[in-house]
Amino acid sequence: MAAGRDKDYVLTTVKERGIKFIRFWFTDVLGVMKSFAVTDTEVAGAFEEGMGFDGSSIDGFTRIEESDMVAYPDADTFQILPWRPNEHGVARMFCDVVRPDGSHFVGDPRYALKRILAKAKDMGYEMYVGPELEFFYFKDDKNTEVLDEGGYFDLTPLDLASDLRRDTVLTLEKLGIPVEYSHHEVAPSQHEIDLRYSEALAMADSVMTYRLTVKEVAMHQGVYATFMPKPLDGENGSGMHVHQSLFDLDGNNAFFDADDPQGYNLSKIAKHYIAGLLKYAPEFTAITNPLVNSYKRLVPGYEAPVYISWARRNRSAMVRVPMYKPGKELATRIELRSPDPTCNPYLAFAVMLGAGLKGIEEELELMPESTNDIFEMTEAELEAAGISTLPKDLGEAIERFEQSEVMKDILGEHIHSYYVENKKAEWADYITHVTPWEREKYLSVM
Amino acid sequence: METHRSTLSKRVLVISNDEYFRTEVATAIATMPVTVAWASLSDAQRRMAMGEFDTILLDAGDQTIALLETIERLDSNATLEAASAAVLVRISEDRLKALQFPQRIHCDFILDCASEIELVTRLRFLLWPKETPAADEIISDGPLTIDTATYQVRSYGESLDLAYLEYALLVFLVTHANRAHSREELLRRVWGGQYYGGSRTVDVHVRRVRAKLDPESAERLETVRGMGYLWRTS
Repeated sequence: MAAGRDKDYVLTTVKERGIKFIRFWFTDVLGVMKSFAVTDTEVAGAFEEGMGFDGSSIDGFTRIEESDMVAYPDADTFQILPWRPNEHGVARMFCDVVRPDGSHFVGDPRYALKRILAKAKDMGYEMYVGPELEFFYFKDDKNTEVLDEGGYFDLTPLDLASDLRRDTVLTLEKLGIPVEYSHHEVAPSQHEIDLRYSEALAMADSVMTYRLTVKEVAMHQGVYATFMPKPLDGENGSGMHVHQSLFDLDGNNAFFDADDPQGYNLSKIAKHYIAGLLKYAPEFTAITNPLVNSYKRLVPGYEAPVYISWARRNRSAMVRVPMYKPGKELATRIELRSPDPTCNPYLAFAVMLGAGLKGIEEELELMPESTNDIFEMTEAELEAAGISTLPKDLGEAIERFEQSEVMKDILGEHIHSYYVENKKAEWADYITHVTPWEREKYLSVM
Repeated sequence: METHRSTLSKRVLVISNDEYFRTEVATAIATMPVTVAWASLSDAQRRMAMGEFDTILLDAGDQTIALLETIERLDSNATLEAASAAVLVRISEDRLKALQFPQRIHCDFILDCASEIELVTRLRFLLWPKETPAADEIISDGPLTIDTATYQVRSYGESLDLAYLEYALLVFLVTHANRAHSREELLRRVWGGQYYGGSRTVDVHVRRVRAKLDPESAERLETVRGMGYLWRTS
């Protein structure tokens, strides 16, 4: 891009600002950020030849015998980290991971997303996403002692959490991650910060940065922030609703159609895309909801989706279509409400886009909008309406994912098979454990 | 590290069959920071396909038809248009009436009797329109200063942590101020020819820049509805 001037920009800025360390960031298959530091003098060489590292200890990368990996920094992602000292500051760049022979490494989630984005581009589309990540603040990481008892949109005076949220928003903006809204969520000590929409790859990088930033800022104030999907019994869990839209390459919103005969202002492309999400949701849920705990959030009664359906007003549907506001064609989008913030954002965006594009390719017909509150419907009514449910637990989700040729195709054999293996082990471990609920319920009576 | 041209260095293609004129041009622009490529009239098409140019100096001598044909070809050349290239036509006074200017690319003319200094000046104006900053300039506007030599942007003296494209976008808008720029133009001139994505990315980057600027400067980066963006100088 721009004839290498971006690299010159990085090298000059490193020198001008007295930056001593540049952190190279990449993500393992499970969505955990990995980082190693490179000194200022090594950066020029790293642009040219990459930085070698041992991939065998990274989850989902390689086995011992083929462990040599090379990280190539993406100069466009160069960013000074605002929570580090100004003098001898620290910056970061996201990296692409390649093999020593220069070929793309298929276990790199960033590459998996790039691949499906390239496919979208071939079809004439670019994916934009705006995620809303919810999280809880607790006093520490050992207990779930909350900081406040506030509720949705509550303005709580003298509230440490709103200072925290403000600091987090300011830090995010310094990192080039503009924030749309931030507010108190429904549960006590639960907060939400919504990011302004951006291209999918940049947004996946932003989600990684966001999760780190929320935790860093909390740590500086001596509290703990968690994205665990369902930390408290009887309270709402934390989701990551993902607003998404396709733009054509001229910058028009491909989801908008003023002449939609159904009056939703949605194009055929949008309807096929939603139909694709609905059809493949059971297969991609293992990616968007990756933990045993994720499925404790996907239960009726806590504003999280359970049923595979779509609606405009009904927030219990899995896909929501926000109402169109006149003159806001560009904002036409759909919102997938099932994912949670512990997912690997590269893989999550990849499977959403992959499912949506599949819907377009297969010209899937969109089921009717679900208008009643689906949670009130009986099993028979649900079946009559053709509404099925998301996987009930990680075991079921991983089974559906394993059998899915579509997911294997989107993510590639390497990531697919590693993910299945890893998550099966997690599930197998979980089911051997007896929960406090079981002891409470059964011990004294059985 | 890839080699790349500095902000100043520009590429000129001289199309002429006149050996004497070529020597004259070579001497005239020897001190300008430009790289020059040469082509004859018959060779012009092929030469243009081989590289990108900022300005083309076209001298057809007395071959009026070849001149008009070449101008037409230049005008339909998408690469030139995309690079915002300009054409300087050298022509004799008696042929001026026949001259037809292109529709899409910027064009100027110079009479074949013009002096060396006039030629150099006209070329300079085409290559570096007045808003383009010199490589080591410090631009100030309100609380904002931009040092283009070191890529550092400061607001009230404090450095801003911009990513490269945020920096490039801001510098372009500030140095081409008080004029609305379409998303397409910004993509072409800031992102460059390598970028194949859609124009929505401009909005995304504008928001990132605004989020990092001080509030006063952020307001100067205005959205022009239905058009694009502009920088309003203080």
